[in-house]
Amino acid sequence: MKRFFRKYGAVMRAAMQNSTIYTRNFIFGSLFLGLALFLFLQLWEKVAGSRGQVAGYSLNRLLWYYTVAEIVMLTRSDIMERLNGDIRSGDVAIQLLRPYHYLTSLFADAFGQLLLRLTLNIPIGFVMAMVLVGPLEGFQPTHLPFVILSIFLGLFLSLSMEALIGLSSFWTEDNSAFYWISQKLAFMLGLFLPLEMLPAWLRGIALFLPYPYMIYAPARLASTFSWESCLQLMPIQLLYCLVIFGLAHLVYRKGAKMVHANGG
Amino acid sequence: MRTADKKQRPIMTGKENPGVKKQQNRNAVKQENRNAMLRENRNLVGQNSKNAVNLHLRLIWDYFRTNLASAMEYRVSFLTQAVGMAINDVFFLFFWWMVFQQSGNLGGYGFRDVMSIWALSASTFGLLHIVFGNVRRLNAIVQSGELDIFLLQPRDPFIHVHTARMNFSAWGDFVYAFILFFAISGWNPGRWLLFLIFTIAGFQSAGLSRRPGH
Repeated sequence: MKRFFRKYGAVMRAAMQNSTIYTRNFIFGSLFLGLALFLFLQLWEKVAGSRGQVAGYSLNRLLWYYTVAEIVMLTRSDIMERLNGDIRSGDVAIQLLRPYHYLTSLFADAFGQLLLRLTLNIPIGFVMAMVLVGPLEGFQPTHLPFVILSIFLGLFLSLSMEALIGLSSFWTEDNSAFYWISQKLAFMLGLFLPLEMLPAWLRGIALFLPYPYMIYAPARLASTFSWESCLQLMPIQLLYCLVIFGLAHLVYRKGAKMVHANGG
Repeated sequence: MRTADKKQRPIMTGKENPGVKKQQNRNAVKQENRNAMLRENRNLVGQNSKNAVNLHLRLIWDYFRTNLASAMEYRVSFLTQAVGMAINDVFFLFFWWMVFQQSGNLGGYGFRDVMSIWALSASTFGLLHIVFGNVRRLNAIVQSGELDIFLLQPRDPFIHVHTARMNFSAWGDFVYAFILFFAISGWNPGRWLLFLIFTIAGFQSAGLSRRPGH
């Protein structure tokens, strides 16, 4: 176990160091975060009108919801692009020869990237939200560890889903359509629309899908924390993390068996 | 011994050495050919601009046909991307529908108005990326050195590089735009005429805005 952490910890550290080279990408990504929050505030201010609230969310809570949702959404790695590239070019055959588990090393690499992005996105999102609407109503520091844990679970779930889509390259020529649809499901069931805005029948269906647990769950806990919703959302988040991660490993094992190396 | 020989050897000029003279003649012919080619190109693009426009329109048309044939060759991939993009666009329709469920109108805009804007931007974006599929890949093409191939061809490299590829998923945007516009406008000929004019105008201005200096 110690060896496992030492090996993949080194991969993670290397990924973090590599990511620091592209500082310009980081800065532009963060600028986008600020712009997105500003635009969302303008839109929902108009929607809320004189009522001052939308689907039970006050404007203050709604903007903090979007801040956490945008942070989770913008904290992305390139795991899917790496998988697509390696599988289509055949480089995966070389990767399989290396003294580590290919998929686990990609996860470690991606997690390194996510950690670095998160350390930048959280302070920028926090400052933007403070400037636009001020401190979160009813915030208590005791909620914070649960919110952070939920953010990590949401990120891990998104990561596993992206890996699963990337692994479909073993069978498909172009999987971008799967990614768009999966991404939009995550957007509509959490990022753009909190589940409370959806009709009751759709909300019922959505709660059975993994998508609300990527963005909605951490954003909901951050903006309107309650122990009830925490106990309702976080165990399912954890369950979906295990299911999608396990599924990705299963698909990888099946796909890796199809790899044939020729030459000498 | 050799070094001593080399040192003593006199410097030959064109007059004395027939080999050097031949080389000079060859260079002169090359330069003349190059000048002729440049003159021809200048004639083509500058003085005879009508001819140049026709030539480039034909280039775009030929690429369009070839790219479409290539799309048909990889039919499953083409359909997956196009249908996937259309479904992707439908999600935004759903988003705006939900927003307008919360509020009747936004700054004077109703659901149909926002959908008209969506239809128009999807049709413009779709047409642009169908005809000039490399529009978004120009940075990568320059970085990878692929641009060299286009610079060597006797056509405007800027038009050539953009039209060399068709973005299959853009068909999804394009078709979706027409279905959406039909759903909100029906057969109203005036609205359709405006929609088509603005689609083409948007396509042209979006294409031109990619040109350096515009």
